[in-house]
Amino acid sequence: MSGYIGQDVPRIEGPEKVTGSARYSGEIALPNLTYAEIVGAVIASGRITSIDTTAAERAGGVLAVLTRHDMPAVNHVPLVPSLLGGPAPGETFFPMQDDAIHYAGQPVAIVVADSLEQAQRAATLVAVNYAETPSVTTITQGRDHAYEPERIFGGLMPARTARGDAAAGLATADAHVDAEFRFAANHHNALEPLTTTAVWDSDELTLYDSCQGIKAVQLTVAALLGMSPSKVRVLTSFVGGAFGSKAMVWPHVTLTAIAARHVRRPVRFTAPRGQMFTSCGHREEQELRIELGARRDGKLTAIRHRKISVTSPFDDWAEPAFGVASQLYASPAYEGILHLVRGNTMTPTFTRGPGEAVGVFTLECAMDELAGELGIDPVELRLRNLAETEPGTGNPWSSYGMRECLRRGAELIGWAGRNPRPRSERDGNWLIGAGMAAAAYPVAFFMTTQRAPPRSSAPACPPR
Amino acid sequence: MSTDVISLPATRGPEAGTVMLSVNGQQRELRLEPRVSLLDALREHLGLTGSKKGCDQGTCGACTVWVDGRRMLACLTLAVTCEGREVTTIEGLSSDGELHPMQAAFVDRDAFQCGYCTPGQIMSAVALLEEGRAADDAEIAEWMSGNICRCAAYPNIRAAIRDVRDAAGGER
Amino acid sequence: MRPLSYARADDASAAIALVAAHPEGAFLAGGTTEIDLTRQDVLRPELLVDINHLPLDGVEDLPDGGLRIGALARMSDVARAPAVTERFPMISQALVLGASAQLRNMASMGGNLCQRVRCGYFRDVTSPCNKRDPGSGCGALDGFHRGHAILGVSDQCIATHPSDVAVALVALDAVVHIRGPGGQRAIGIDDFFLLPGDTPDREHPLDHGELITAIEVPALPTARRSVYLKFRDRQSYEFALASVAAAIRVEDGTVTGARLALGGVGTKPWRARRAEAALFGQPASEDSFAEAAREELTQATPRQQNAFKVELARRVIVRALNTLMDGEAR
Repeated sequence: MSGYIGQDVPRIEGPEKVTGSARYSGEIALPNLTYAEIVGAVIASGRITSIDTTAAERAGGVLAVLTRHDMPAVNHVPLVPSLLGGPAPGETFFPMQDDAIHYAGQPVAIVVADSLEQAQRAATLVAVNYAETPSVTTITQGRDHAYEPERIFGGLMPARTARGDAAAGLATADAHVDAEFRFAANHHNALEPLTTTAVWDSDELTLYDSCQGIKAVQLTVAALLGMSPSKVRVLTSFVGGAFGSKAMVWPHVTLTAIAARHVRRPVRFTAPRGQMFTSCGHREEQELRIELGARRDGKLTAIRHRKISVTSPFDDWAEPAFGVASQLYASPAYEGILHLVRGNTMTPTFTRGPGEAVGVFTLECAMDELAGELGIDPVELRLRNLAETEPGTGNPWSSYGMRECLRRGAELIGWAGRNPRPRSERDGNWLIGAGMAAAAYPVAFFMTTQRAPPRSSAPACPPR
Repeated sequence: MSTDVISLPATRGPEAGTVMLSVNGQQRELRLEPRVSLLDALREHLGLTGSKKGCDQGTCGACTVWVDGRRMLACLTLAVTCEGREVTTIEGLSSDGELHPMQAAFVDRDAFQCGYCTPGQIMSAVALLEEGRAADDAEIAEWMSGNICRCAAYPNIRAAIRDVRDAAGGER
Repeated sequence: MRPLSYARADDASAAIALVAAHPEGAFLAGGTTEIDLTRQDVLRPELLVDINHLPLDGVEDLPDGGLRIGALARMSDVARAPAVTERFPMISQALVLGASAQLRNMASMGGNLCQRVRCGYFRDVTSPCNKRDPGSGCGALDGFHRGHAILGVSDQCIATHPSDVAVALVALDAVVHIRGPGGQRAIGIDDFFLLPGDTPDREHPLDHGELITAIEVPALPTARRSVYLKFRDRQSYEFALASVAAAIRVEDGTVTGARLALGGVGTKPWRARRAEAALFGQPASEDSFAEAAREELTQATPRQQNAFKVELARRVIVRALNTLMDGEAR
């Protein structure tokens, strides 16, 4: 076994991927397959006043056009992050249960047809009329009605983080930094679009779904449809990227299952690229403000962090920006307060380094400015503020690589020889320079069980 | 200008009709509507799912195939326009179970993670070398810019391309 | 996509006759615009006439030193034609800076001139757009217009013309050769592109059934030292925020001729005549270049999100002329 660690080992699925023989979820050959297209709302807020499906139903190859009138009542399942191992709908709202529109792109109809082209064409023929009401989709529009929630991230974490007296720490500081950052919403846009194929055999459902966890899909669909999980089988061999967008289970999965039950044939849904922006959550639009207080020698006296972001009408979701920021340095005081704006968007979701990517970014930018203000080398400033124990609890770290990272990183890029003045070096039409920033991401521990049958022979893939 | 003496070509469709495609050296007879893209003909009608649909609007390059040896996007090509042309897909790149040098290089250099962009990258990369556009990393990046990788395997993709370029004796 | 019919033409007469006979007929060349927008339901052809087999794909030298580029010549082939790279580098540079390698292999020169705007409201059939749906309004005016035009706009439409090579061809006074049911004609390229005015749905003075057969580029020795610079949010495979095609003739330190055209900033490829006039007879210095650029952009009408383009376009002109004077592109 130790012969494998540290070895360069090619991915065992490499040959399948480079020859195109790897079958992704939307590529499984099935007899009698039909294709679904989802029609999304074109307004962000209001209600449907009428849907005329006549032209769509008459279009060639169409088997069914489902609206809310054809839908079963779907159970309300709470939003709990998928990593906890239970049902995990991405938002507590399930579409096509009434005539209310909560966000642009919200599914309002499903077309099922014999061919992809027929389904795509028929979807454009579904005539939906709306009564539109004013919507809030940006921080600017909703800022005046922002509120402070109790918990965020699917209830997993408290919204507020605090230790010490940040106000006093800032008041008594020799140097201050006060910086604001605005972040546009980010969309994962994995290269493989969302895709679900649903096949019923009597009361048993098989789903081929591009997802980050088959258990979450199984449990979520079963819970929404009021089925026993033992009747739901999920098969996923290859996933074409996700980046957080396929961890929670989004409405299209269950909608596809419902459509397949309705037409009594296998149904494949693959989201068009344009729908990917309104189908699987996103990283929320957010503004962060960070204030640092420090003594003349660079030692932090306080960090105050503020965040405001947009969430859906149904869930208090925000990615947690304050975790690493409150722990990375030995500041005696830290205060992180978060506000939410109820907006006409989907519930945001896990996105690449959820929360910490943004939180640490703002912290490190502020530290860089602080270094400039105090005339202290940025690497030295970090070294002076390293947390020898966890600043909130005083617990020892199991390991703490910051010092080594800083020293070794500086050495590797010749940090000592750099010109510290910004905008001081040119290369033709380019301004060039060197900078640094620290980063960390929390590690979470969960209990898990594994079962492996004993092998009767050696593994099939030797190291190279 | 009189049209009487012009014999106009036959109009086909809109209903499905016979379309003959030569794909990876094999003649295939399909029943397709004119509106069916080459990409959907490959994936849904021929079971050749190696070419991927990432955007269906010519912006991601995951559907890159060769038509008469030139790299093109199957999503913006109607299948019927390929009659009489030679279509090559990722499935046609390796022969007799041997990986094409570019495929082997992608594995060796770990030039992919999820693999969804990979067939398009490889088809594009092989053509890139044929076109003589791999002089250095900047040229490789520029001439491979039509192939997006959301997993950001770009540095390893460039390394794989360099490996094949250098093994072939440098840039053509 | 709506159901549609298909026919393949082997000669121009047949192609023209087929399209002319069908009110919803359209020519299909590379398909990079046609298939894309038909799938979006923005274009609604009922018959596509495949002109890819027409013998119009050559790049020929004209006796006087000009070029005749067949309308079906692909962007990639024209870009690497020796006659183009040697005598008109701004054309080959503009071509390779556009689109992606795959798209350049597919797209025809004639189709490039006829490509449609990138405006999100135009491309989305549920949004108001006077170009796509006359009288329905313009979503961009008070909506998202960061990439939109600051020159040649009207209160009906502010969409930017997206072509790169058209900018170079406009700088070079190319001539567009057309054949249709009524015969053959030629249009100066600047007149081939119409300002939106009150009829943004009309982009070219082409009648139904008329087909571009060739683009002729008159001889211009000065163009041997020419450049196309493109500035955009991404390094590659992205439309211009501002671009410029430039050629300059300098004798004894004085500008005796200049060709300038701007891309990314106009509702049509923008021949910068004011800048050209301002340069003539001036010393070939950065000050003159800046003054000429300033002069050209006085007619700009920016909006809130695209106001940055005014200064950017000025600097792009200066950068291009400096580049030509320095003798190397940066």
